[in-house]
Amino acid sequence: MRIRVGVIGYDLIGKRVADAVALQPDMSLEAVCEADCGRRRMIAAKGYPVGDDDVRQFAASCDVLVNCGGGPVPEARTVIHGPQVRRDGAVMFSALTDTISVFGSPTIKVPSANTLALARLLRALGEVARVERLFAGIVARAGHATSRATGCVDALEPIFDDPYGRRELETVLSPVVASFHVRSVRAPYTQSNLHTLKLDLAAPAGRERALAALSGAPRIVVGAARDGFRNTACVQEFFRDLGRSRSDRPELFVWEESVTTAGKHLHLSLDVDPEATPIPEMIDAIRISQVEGIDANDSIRRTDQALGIAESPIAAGAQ
Amino acid sequence: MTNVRVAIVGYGVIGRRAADAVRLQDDMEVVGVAGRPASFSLRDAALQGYRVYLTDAPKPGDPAGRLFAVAGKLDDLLRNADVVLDCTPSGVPGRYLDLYRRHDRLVAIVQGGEKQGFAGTSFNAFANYREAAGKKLIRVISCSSTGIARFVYTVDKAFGLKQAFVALVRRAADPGKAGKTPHNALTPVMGQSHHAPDVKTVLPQLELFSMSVDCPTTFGHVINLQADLRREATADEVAGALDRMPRVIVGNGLRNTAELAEYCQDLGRPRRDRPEIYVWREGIHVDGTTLVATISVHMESITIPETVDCIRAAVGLEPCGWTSVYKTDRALGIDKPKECYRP
Repeated sequence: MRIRVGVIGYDLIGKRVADAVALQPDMSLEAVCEADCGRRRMIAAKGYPVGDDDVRQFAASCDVLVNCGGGPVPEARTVIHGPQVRRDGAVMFSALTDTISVFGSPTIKVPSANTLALARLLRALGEVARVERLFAGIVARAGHATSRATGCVDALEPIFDDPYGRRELETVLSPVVASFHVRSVRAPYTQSNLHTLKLDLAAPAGRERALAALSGAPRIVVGAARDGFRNTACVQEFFRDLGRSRSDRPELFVWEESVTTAGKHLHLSLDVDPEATPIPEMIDAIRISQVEGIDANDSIRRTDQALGIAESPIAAGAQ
Repeated sequence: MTNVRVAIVGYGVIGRRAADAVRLQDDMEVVGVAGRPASFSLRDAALQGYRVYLTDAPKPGDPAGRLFAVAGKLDDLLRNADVVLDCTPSGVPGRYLDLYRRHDRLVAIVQGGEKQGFAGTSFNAFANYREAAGKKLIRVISCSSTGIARFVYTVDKAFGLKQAFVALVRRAADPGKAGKTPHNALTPVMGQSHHAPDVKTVLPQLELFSMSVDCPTTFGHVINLQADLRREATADEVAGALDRMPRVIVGNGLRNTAELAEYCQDLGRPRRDRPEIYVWREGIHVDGTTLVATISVHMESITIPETVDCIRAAVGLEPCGWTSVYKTDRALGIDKPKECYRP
């Protein structure tokens, strides 16, 4: 029995969720609900069922509704709110979430790409050492290239006031890290968010161990600046050549040479694709919410196989 | 008392500001500006009333002679100078080092674009003013390093500083410099950037680590800092300590580097310059002994007052650093109340 999924809103995230669901052997995309006519045509062109105007009818035929901010959300067995939707009080899903709390939960929230990135990083490094404190300086893209509300064309703007973002981070990170501070600076840039990180570990960890943990972790790829990944554009161009849908990179990209250690401090730089990063976690949230007792690693494996991101394309090329 | 005679080599972003700053002091004067004959910047120098000298022989069609009168060669200029401020791009001062050395009383001051090993001594007016006394070749630390140095110096003095991690977001290139930065891309420096080591040349006792990302922006750098203090402090105490420090502005309500530049323009600052670091009051956050803060550096002007102080320190015009800093700031119109200028 496949999990029946409905998607509300065919925006930057919604269209990717729809495609990702369609690729999962254990899911079926029942409908995509969208008010905008142009987008409805695109949904139809893909061969996906276009949801009725009456979203409640559509909800009745779905096990899971994925809300990508498309409008009012009817009740359903499970509603998963995507990163663009601000919701307090829902179970927050990330790489650090205990699957038991997710199964059967009527409302689940998948946080922002940046929060998910930090969760993945902490899960990966958890193999190496306990992280006592984290500091992230994020250069955040001002907005998607198509956005007409991005703000300044040529200014750097530090973000000090983001209480919702702080609550999200607090919910996701505080079970794992005692203290963290994240500072974002919005920049005249559209493609990604670049994290400059310092982690204070409970005990010194060798650089090689940290790199091995990152390279071996799901949804994290490591590339070297000396191998041509000199800046974010070089990284993006490499992924454009791979033929992936929309040239997406759901994986975090870590620059190998940026990983340095000094005593108990670990530093690194990583790049986050804002639209693609949340997609694998959203698929896992769908599955884990419906399948009792499923192992998180099992879901990750199945999702990544279906999405074609189970192996690092950089490591593969090096063979 | 005769003024210290200062020659400027390179009339780019830094050179033109250094020249104007020296001219505003009552104990030094610009005896001339030297540059390449193909450079249009020398026309700007001539328009500002400076005597222009050439570093090389002009070719036909060069701006030299065509757009401005030439007073002589670089060597002629240096013969009549006590100090040379070499404000040429990174890597270029090395070309003139032998020439500077041939004038054995001449003090040469270079900017932070040169590597730390280029000059025996690095300089920051707050951190190590006296070290420059009697030196013949001195390097003022780079723009971001100067900004970081002022911040960590203040915090260390007021609360004690155990360590600081610095994450910079930098403008990648000077105006008009094509090819130095990709459009719509971010370039992270791999591993530690030069900034923390640079600051440590003048504040060697501090534990610092810096990482930097180059960004396609023009108005200023933004720097995030995580600092572990030796004692607890409130955000107000931190703001107070910074507010009392010269060459530091603690502000509220300016949301980004463009608004900051606009504000400086409205203040009537020449070239909308801001030699002071700007600290966002909204961004000062203390968690126990962990301080997180965000500052902005205006890279075009921040090292200018430091360079003026460096002249005084090197030639022995003023033995006391804070006296020089006050004098410079008064002349540049960026002074705080006199009681702020003390060790």
